[in-house]
Amino acid sequence: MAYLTQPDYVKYACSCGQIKPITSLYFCRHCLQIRCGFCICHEVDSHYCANCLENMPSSEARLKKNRCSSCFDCPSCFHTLSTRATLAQPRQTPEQGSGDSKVENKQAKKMYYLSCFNCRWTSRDVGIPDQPVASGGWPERVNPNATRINQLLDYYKAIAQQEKQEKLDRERKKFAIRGKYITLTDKTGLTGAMARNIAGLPSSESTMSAIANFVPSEASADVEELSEDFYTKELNLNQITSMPQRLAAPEWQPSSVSRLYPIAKLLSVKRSQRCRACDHNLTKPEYNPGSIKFKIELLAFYHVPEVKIISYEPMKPGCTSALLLKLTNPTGHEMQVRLLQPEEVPDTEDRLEEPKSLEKSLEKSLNLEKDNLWYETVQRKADVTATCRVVTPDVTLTLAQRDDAAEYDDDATHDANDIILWRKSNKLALRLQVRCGEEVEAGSAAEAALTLQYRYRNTVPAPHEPRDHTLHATLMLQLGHVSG
Amino acid sequence: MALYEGIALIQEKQAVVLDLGTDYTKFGFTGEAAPRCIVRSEFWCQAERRYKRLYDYRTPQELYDNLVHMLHLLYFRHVLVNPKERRVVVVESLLTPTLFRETLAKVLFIHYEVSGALWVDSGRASALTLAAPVVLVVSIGARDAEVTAVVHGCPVLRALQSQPLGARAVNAELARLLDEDNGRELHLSDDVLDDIKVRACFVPGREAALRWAERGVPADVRETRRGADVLVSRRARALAAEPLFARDHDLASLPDIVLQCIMQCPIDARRSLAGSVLVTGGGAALPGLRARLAQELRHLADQPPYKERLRELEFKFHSAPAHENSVAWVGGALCGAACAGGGAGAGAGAGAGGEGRGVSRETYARTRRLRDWACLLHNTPPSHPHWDMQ
Amino acid sequence: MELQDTYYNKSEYVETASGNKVSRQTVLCGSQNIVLHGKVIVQSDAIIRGDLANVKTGRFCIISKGSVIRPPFKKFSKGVAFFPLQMGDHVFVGENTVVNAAVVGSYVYIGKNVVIGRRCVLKDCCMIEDNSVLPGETVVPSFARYSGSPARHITTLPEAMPDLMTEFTKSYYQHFVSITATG
Repeated sequence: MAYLTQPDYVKYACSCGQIKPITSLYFCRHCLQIRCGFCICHEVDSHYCANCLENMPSSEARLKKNRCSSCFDCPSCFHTLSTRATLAQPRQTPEQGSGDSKVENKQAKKMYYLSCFNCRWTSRDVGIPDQPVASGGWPERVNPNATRINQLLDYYKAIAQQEKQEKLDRERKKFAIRGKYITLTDKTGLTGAMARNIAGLPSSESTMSAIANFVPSEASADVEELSEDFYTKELNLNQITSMPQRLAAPEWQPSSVSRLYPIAKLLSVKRSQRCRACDHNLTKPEYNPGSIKFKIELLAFYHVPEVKIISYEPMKPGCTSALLLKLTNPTGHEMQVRLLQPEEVPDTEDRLEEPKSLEKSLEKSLNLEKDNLWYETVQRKADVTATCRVVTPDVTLTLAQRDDAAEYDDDATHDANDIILWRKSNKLALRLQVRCGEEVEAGSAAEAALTLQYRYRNTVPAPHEPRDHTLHATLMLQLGHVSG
Repeated sequence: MALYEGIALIQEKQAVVLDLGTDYTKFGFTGEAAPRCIVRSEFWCQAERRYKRLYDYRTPQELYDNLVHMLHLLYFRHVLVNPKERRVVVVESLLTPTLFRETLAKVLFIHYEVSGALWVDSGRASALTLAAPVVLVVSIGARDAEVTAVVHGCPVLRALQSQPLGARAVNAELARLLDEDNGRELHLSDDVLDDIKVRACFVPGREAALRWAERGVPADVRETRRGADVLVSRRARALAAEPLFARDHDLASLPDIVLQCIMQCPIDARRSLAGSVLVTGGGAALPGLRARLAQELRHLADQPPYKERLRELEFKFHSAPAHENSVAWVGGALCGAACAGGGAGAGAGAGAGGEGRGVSRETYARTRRLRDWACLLHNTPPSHPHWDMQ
Repeated sequence: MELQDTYYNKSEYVETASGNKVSRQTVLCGSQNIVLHGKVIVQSDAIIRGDLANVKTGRFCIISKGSVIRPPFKKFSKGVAFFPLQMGDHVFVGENTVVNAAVVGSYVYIGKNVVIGRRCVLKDCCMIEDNSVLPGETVVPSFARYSGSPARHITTLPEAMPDLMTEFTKSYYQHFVSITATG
């Protein structure tokens, strides 16, 4: 939680060089690399309305322009509109007179209108008639320019079509000199028309007519002069829409408040995320919009040892201060952790104990070919230059596996060790020394870089034995400011 | 195989059209009459926990990151489609810096893996919405005002004009006038200034402007906001857009650059250009701006520097089938749709539009560069020895 | 950063068998209608209006100082009716916050000085930032982070939100220690 309300004190270096808090990182179990939102591939999984929480198949969403058919936003303040019911007396026509026989007609009918609970805008403000049904049935508007745009579209498509045809003809002519088998039917006859029909292309006649009947825009010499009202009338700001109000409806962009219409609510999407290197899913949400569960959820938070700062002494240039860290093992397996300096990390190549099987290496070479483009261009080296240096003790720490039942066991065991402060199930508190550089200016941010080398048990290749890997995670610690 | 290809062609995903403006970004699908969204060109920066503007960058790397975040926002919050294997039409100014173009291409092709992209310049795109053969496009953006003469689908590059006479210039003048009105420095944020401008400002006619510039008009609007109680006089409302028409020795006012553009065009196109002016861009939405520009143009055309060379021009104005701020976008959408109909070779040429500027992902992966009119390499014939030196 | 200990005066708090810690300086109206599901902390000056309708919380909820939990009402033609308020597990309600929601899901973080309007529905795993105002009948979807007045969707939350909230409320409970207690 601290991750959401506090600045990020501990950040991890992603394999792509970005430095981010552990909550926004992922861990690909297939590449055994840390990934982040920047270096993975996002995909739209499903569309849903965030208000009524109903799923919409993506084909339907495309048809409805990604808008919910039953929920509306306030055009004035963009809050969701609520449907309110009123009882409306049906209007009596004078001819009916006393009309004792029409008693049921007099009965109040439930009518609905839309109202905003935030700014009190209602659909009645702009003269939209109340609806007899609670949801849907609201008048739809069409873009005033739609017909002209469609004309233009037809025109340009026809031109493109004709151009293509001419190009084909030209090519045909080239060949025609040699060959003697041109038949007129090919171009103009029944076969040609049928081929067009099958291909779903407009027939050549309609192409011609689209071009012939098209009228280009006419310029006119008189320009609409500014209305006198601007010079004489008092300005009423409440009648004029603001920029966000206009842009909320890009098709109409009303400038007067009386032309604000309810905006159908934009849908939201659930995203699934995929590793670029191996194309495996990193996260895949459940289909149900109300669900917070994931089918696949490979977060760094569940696989990489988490480091938290408990406390630290203020840093002084050239001095050594104490730093208390908490290490947590989020996995279900025991974990050995060593602390290293970032520069001690061996090169990537030796780090991964490559599976020797042929298919594996084949797969790898294929993958490499595929994703090289991205990594070549975008991958950066993580900037882990720091003002302070953590003195790394040469010990291997063992972190027990996570045990949900152990949470209730409140007793921390205090090791008689000068590094380990206490142990509590899968957690471990460390006392470390941080040395601040001599020439660091007072007041500058104190940062320290640290690398964790940890044994990670990979359970993913199901047919094989679970395999242990030695992995590294480099992290940056923000230790306040250097005091003078 | 051929049949299969045909099906793939028909079912090709609708391409998206992207217009990354300085202040507002327009994004939507080809073939549609209006963009799906017009949003501020800014995104929530998680690391800094604030909104960050797309054009706030110091290094190419920062620009790359900004573009990645911005496109993520557009694709997954607004338009809700997978960027992968979908074509993109990019509407851009002819004067877009090379760094920005190249970085955008890198982000699109490599980060979002789009299947192809088509670059359309905003001048020609705007002209496409009219389908008129000769159009003089006056585009007033957030930063710059650009005047492009589009003659039969070809921008006259020699006559291209650009001056920093966009919405920013109006905002700056408005801020100055408001400070004067209120007798203190207000330090209003851009948002507030924008809001005052959009809701209160207008462009008066020529005579009225001259009259008002001399004597002030009593205060008439009081703008009350959190922490800022601002008096907006009618003078401020009317005169905020004056910098666009202020003439100096450089002859760099809006009507001046329009006339200069016409003057630098081939002599046989001048008359038709003047008779076919299209005023676009978000800055042009100010009430009365078109009328004022028409008055100024007619007045200036009779004045010394232009009188001798531009004789008896008759200025006529188009109205585009879109809102001012999305004209170029709509042009891009038309171009994209027409090209898609023309088949996979996006270069089929959409009427007066794109001439083979489409780049597919494979081509980009091979060459890693974009065609650019300003680059000598791309202006030489394919057989020229320049190409071998690459 | 690791959470620091919060100390309280042992005599000020009542601890129930299920582990609820409720301050004596709270106003719990209609306490027969209030169900705290265990390990819930209700801090001083909080008000829970059980007299209006049932209030139910899950486990490990934290209701901070000066906050008001008040079941929402709805106006009908015949009058008003109050609806029960349900709160899931691992919910944090910040200081001086008013919650008028109909449903608050699990793993929800509500900051301080927030107003949650009438009959709002906060789905699981969402966050309302400090000083926000959520107008009535808003639905806050999962993994959304809302902020401002009126509160808007600002950004999304990390996928590990359930675990983050669980850890947070549990460690808050663990670090909520009495002064007189030893060890």
